[in-house]
Amino acid sequence: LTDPDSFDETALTRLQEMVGADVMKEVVELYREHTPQRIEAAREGLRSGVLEHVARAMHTLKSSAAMIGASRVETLASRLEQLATQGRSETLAPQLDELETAAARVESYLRARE
Amino acid sequence: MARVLVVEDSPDQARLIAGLLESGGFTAEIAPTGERAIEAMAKSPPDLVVTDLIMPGINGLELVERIKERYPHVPVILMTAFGSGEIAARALQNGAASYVPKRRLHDELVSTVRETLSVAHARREERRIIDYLQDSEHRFVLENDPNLVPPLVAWLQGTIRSRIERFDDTELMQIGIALHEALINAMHHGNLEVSSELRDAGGEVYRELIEQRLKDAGYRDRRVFLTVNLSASELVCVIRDEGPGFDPRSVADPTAPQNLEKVSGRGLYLIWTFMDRVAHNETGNQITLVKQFEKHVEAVH
Repeated sequence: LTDPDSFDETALTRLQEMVGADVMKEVVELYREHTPQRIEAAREGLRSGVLEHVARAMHTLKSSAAMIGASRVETLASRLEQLATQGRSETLAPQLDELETAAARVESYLRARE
Repeated sequence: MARVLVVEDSPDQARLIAGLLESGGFTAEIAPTGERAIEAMAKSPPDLVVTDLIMPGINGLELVERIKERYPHVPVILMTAFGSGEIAARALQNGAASYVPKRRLHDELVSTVRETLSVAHARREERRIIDYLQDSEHRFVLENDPNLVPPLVAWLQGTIRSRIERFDDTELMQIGIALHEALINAMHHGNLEVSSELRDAGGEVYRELIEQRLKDAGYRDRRVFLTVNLSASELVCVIRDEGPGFDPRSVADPTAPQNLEKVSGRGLYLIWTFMDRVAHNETGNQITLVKQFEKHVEAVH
């Protein structure tokens, strides 16, 4: 669950030391609330063929994930953003599934950490 | 306490950015869109704006342009991510003061805001008139103390301001930032030989090595030499350090937007964007920055 490839716990701890536990709790709650929406926005973009929406949702998720140390989600979101920008829709669906699995792992980690 | 307006459409990122700024002693306000940022600024302009680039509605580039038009004294710092290099490059050309990669916010946001504010405030405070000066050369010999940089930048901006009528405020700020970056490069990377790549590993390691080197006379006693030549037509700054230098050809092309994300090249990127000509000597321990004033009206005297 917390292998360094999928989650960088030190990033979260370091941030918490800087901004305090209360702010970090809010940030994590907002991340958990918005991540499913971003993945759904990407799915919707893929369904309707508007790859720009996929790219935008992944651009945002990439940075949000990076900030809290969700490295695997960040990597996958970044890859999806690039594929969507290049218009390579055929490869997007399986990658999006993979991202969803990685995001679910982060979600259970964050829930357990509460 | 300085007020910073954070323009970011992602609520989790916005909260974290505001938290980082608050922990650095600033008051932070959040605007979720460019439109809301403009409304907030109309009510009460902040001391500085930190903005995302890719947002629905008004994007970061348009926001920079509008702020430059209406609030030329308010510096804007961009937050960049892979994929926003092109737009960031244009925003820097159009008046943004600096940028911080989103991946590096925890380490670099607060210090970049502080440095930018020090340059911007100094510019406002320093309005000395140097009469009848036609052409001047000034030579400085500096210790490796970054605290010397803001007053020096203020002096230079005040000097330019007093000589060139109606000089563009944004451009003056950008010259200040380029000089600031070049001097810090000479102190930290040149004289103290602390590689900027160490920052990629975390700011802590970078800062510790600087502290350590400042205790070692072999590094500490090296000096930075700055020569400023100002005429009505151009500004030429030559900055030399006493370190071993580097191969200027080894640096990734500092003018390519895709290199914006390389933390180690940030200073050089800003320098190349903000100045008209930049040159390194062969040994890499001297950099020459040139800004031309031809496009501005004639000098006061």
